[in-house]
Amino acid sequence: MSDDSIRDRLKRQLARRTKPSAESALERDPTARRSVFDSLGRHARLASDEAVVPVTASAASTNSDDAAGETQPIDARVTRANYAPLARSLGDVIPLPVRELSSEPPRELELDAQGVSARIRQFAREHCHGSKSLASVFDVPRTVLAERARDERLNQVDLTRAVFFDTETTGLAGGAGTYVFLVGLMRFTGESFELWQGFLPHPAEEKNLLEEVAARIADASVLVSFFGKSFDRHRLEDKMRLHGVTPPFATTIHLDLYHPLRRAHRGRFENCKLKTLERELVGVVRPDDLPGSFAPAAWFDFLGGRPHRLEGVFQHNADDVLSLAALLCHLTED
Amino acid sequence: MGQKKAQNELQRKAPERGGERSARSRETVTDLVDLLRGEPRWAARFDHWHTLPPRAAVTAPFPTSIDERIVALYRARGIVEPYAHQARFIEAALERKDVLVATPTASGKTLCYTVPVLQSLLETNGAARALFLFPTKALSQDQSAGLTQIVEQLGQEWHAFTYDGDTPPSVRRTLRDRGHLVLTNPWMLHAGILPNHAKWSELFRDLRYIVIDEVHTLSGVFGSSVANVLRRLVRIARHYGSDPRFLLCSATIKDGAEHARRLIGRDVVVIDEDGSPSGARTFGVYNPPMLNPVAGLRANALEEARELARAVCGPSHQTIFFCKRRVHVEVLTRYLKEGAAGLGLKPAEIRGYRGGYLPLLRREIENGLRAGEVKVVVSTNALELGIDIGALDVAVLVGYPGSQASFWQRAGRVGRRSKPSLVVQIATSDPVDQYLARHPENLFGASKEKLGLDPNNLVILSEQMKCAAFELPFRADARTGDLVDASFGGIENAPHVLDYLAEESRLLHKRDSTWWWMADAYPAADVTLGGVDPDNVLILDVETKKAIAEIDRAGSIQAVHEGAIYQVEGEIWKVERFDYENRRAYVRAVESDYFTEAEVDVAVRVLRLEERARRSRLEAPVAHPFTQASLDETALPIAADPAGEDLSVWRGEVHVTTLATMYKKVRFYTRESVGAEDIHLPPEELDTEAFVLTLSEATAFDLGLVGGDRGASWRGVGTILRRVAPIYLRCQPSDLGLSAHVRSPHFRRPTLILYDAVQGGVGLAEILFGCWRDLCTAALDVVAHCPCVSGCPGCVGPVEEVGPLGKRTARQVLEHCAHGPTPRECELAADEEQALST
Repeated sequence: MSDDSIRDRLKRQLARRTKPSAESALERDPTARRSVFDSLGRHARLASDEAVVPVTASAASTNSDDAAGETQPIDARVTRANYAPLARSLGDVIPLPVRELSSEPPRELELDAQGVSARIRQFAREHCHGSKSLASVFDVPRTVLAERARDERLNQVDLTRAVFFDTETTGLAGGAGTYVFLVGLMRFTGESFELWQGFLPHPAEEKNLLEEVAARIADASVLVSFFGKSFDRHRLEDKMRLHGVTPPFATTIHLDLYHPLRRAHRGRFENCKLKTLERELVGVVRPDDLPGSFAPAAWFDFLGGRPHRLEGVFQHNADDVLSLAALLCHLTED
Repeated sequence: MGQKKAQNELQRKAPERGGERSARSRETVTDLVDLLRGEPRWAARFDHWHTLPPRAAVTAPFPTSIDERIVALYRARGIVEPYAHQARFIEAALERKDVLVATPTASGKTLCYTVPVLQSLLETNGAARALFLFPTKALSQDQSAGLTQIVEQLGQEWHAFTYDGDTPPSVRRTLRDRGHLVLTNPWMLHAGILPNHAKWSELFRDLRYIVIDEVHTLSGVFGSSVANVLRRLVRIARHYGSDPRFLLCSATIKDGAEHARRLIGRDVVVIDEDGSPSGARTFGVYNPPMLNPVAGLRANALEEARELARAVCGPSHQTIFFCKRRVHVEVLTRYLKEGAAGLGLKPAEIRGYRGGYLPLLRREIENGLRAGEVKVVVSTNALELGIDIGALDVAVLVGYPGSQASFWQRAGRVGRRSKPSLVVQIATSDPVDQYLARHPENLFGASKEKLGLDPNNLVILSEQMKCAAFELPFRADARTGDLVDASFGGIENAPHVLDYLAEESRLLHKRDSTWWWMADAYPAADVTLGGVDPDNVLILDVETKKAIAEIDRAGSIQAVHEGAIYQVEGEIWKVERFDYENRRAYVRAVESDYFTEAEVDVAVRVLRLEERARRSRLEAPVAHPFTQASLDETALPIAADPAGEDLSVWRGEVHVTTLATMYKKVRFYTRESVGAEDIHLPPEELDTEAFVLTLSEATAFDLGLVGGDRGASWRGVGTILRRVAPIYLRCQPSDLGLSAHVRSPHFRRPTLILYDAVQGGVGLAEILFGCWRDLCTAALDVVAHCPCVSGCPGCVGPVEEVGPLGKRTARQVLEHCAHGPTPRECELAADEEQALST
């Protein structure tokens, strides 16, 4: 069969079977906003360690063929029937402010000796994010922290070596084909707070980036994240194992702020998303934020040589990491 | 309750029953066979008997390199030497070959693969891993218990787990990290394990063996998809550095080596000589008596089964009935339970069994069978596969199961070691059954069936490569453009598929001869394996809101429409409401003296034609052309051009719309119709492949196919072709849909369309395009030998449907199609297509 006829045949036959492909989210509907955390809240199971709800075998054809397949327990599937695949779930629809489109690679990317691309920014100790200065982290009473976070080891933790981290990925479902393309890690260098944003300019560079991330995390006294225990950690671990990089998480204390914050403030606000908590608890407002749900599309656009909004993703990631520090301070207040 | 206690109770009760039970309690299978062959009433109904003499075991010692601890373990279980086929299998496995054992059920295939796996664990001190694939969850759970037991007996800290939808989350993590033996099924592998392979890196790194059971079930679209899932598995294993071998088990099939080769892409060692012993086996082909020779009506096979039960069921042995449809299972179970006393049994000793029952219920029945407490079980093909229910004594197949492989699987359910067993095949009035009753060599002789498997089917390949690309990037040689890949390299269309996925679907990103996954989608969740919609409908009790069963969507419009009677183990439920949108049917328990049967209307639209073969009237004149003398019509539709076309066959794509229109209420036992109601449900839409047969108008005229009554006989031709299809295609008649028009809207002439009843098609149309002439010959054989006068359900359909001259006309048509030169392939002329599509 000639090349063209294969293509024609595929076109015809696959059009009957497949769902629409993943176009750039912005091309689909520029005014639509899908909050990543909306979906995370509802589909916590999806983003959790178990990540995937497997498609099950169905009872086969009408009358005769029973032997071909058994299924998940009924109740699990009743639950599954109630949730729509992520791609089809839409949160609030909020008009998107005009955002900068770029055709250039992200700015200020440095290439280190190992070939890892990263943007590095320094923040002074007194730098304020919302109502908190970054240095307030050092004043956090550790016994209260240990109690609220339900982890005794935090009693002795050295907060000057804490690492605040957040990632941007190309999907929520995990699995081998999901890339972690931006990893924001912030730590105190002794003089200032350094935010290192490791970037994946192409899937081929994945192993280098993961090795660097593993090393930086292994160095930390405690990892601070939001929902990281259920999501970010597993995405990173998966990809590390795929490339034969030893994951550092087993030996590192991990403080996931989502859980203690939710316990403390359940029912007080409309939800427990990071955006909501940072606004209500520490007064962080991000007027021009690019929602996290647009991150995958930005990276795909960049790779595809199309105009992209990666700058917004970098900014969003940086704001997320800074909010972690602010919320950590708030956690131990009354 | 222990068996002993139950027996004591039974003996005490016997006198109250008038001695029926005690009278039957000393029957043996030999007695039954003597009865059926000797007593005139029964003997008259059997068309054919076939016996297989008892067979002694052939054993051979364990290969010398097998660890002494394994040998000791089996000796303690009473196995000093394995059967010859088991020993040969183990030897080949130890030589690091891929092996297939193709022997009947209960020949000890489990031991074949367990020993090499245990050996690898002992040799590597627990580092090695093995993956087991079973076609159903029930099977994998069944085997898991056995494997765990053996492993514990070896006294090691090794673990066998099932990984499927039932596995609780806490167990899943342990399993991934420390499961030495992972038992799962193709769906779980496809959507759960492979896309998350990083989580399973321990398993893949040390994977030694991939065991696949019941590989003969891996055929058709399902098998082709699984073949690709295995390709993905192998390339992932290679990524983590392992090189596992395949250990395959199958029922007896023709061409095992070829089938395995297509499934796993490698040559295998085939072991098919069964060394296990068996008692004398007796097979009877039972043909229900002819009630109405003129109409060709035979007694109903299900009613015959009920009669036969009086002879072959009893408290001293176990009997299994296999039915083709779930409705029949329910009806027969109900009949037997009601007549239990006459069989010397208690109603609780008679059980029904089928898919759609909840797992707990099925486990209960299986345990009852193993323990000998359940004396009679009525089942669909759900019990055809290897779930351990022990060996039973008598099997009755109500209707031919559709394939020789299925026949032997079911027959394999009976026969305890060195005890005689009996298998009765009841023929229905279905043409295939009757054909086999006349030609039993097709049942007992060498297998004729092909197991269709096409892993490189373009659509399946693309779907699966999509999933594969999500798992690991694809690389090509920079110079030649050929794929460099452990599994997909060397497949001609593979690079094209990847380019398509990159450029058209925009799911992949290609750079420097590598294709990367580039979407936020999770492909495996959208790709099904069986070509079957996983959109099941739950059936819920309206009172308790709990689910009592489930059914696939396509079947739901016929089985759980509002007002339908739905049965579970003889219990009757009526559907009060069917929430089609949300896939829920709400039922209420009722008393009912009738059950329901739905009718459907089917509309087929031709989308595109791809291949054609035709022959001209010059080559194939009609013998004894019909004359106009007895017709009222005055003009021929067209001038009879002697060089014009005679007939054409085509292959192409169609769109099918199925609408359930109404249902009939049928009284139990008497089968009289007690009413009918409408069904209001949306139509099912289907895009698929089809085989088309058209006659030119001139030929049609010569054959007497000219509208009015005679047109109905054209449909009869379609009906008989569809019903004999299973002889050549490995399918059921229900896998093919039929549309017959004497004046087709598309072709404007008599047209028969036989389409693949599965979304997207499974390749049946293509096989039909190749063997349709053989099909016509077989159909002709059935029609010619059918004793009915003018048509009956056993050949072209009842005379009410095909008209008084229907059978004769259909026979002429079939003769004309089956004889004469073979139509030649030709181009689909553009102008022809143009004309056709207006």
